[in-house]
Amino acid sequence: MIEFSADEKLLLVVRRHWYAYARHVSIFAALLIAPSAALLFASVRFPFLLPATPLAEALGKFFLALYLLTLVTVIFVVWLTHYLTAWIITNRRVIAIRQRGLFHREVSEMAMERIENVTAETPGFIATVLDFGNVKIETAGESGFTIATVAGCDRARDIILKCSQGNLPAAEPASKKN
Amino acid sequence: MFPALALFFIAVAAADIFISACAVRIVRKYALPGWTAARLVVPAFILASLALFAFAGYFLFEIRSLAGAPGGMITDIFLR
Repeated sequence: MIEFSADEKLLLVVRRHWYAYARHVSIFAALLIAPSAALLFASVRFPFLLPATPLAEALGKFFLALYLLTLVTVIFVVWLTHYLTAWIITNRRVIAIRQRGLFHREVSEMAMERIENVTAETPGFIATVLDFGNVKIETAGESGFTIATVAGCDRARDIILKCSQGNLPAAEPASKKN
Repeated sequence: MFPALALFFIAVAAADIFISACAVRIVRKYALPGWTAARLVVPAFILASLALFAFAGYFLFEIRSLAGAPGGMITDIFLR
């Protein structure tokens, strides 16, 4: 759990753009549809492969329920890793949280006064159309960090730059906190 | 057939419950108070898991009752 001091204002929570999840979503959609599609295909093209006894039907439904149970859990764990991966920008620091798996979490932070340069990069056509990009934060003498594939990278850069220069923007409305 | 399927069911359910409980605990522990999506997704996930768990259990006991009926042996599926 991230603790905020009394004089610390939450300005923005940045998450990865949905495009970064598109590959996972398409894989899970295919895995959800696959059993039904395979059964439909087999019933049309190879009906002799599908035994029509009540026991076979019950067996099929039993394994289908277990398959879906496992799939739902895997989808939830993948969602969790995406959901808990975030960059929290306050008036005093930038906190980078990376949930790499169910039991692997990294939290790092950078004080605003140490930030020297912030770069927003929009790499390519898709990123330009869908409005996402990478934000690179650099500090003096130390390696900074990169916030990759974030939605609204220009806005995040502006807020971090203003804060690092001592120009505090207004706090984010609650609807932006997700 | 039923004991083997029951053992398989118990093993899958135990692993699933362990991972689900860890995942729900991690979401509740690390989500910030303003992050509302977790409040919707976690109950939906629990409900979906319970429903699928109940379905699997129901079909397991259906298999048990059908396996005792004439033509209900596992080999009969392939001897039509």
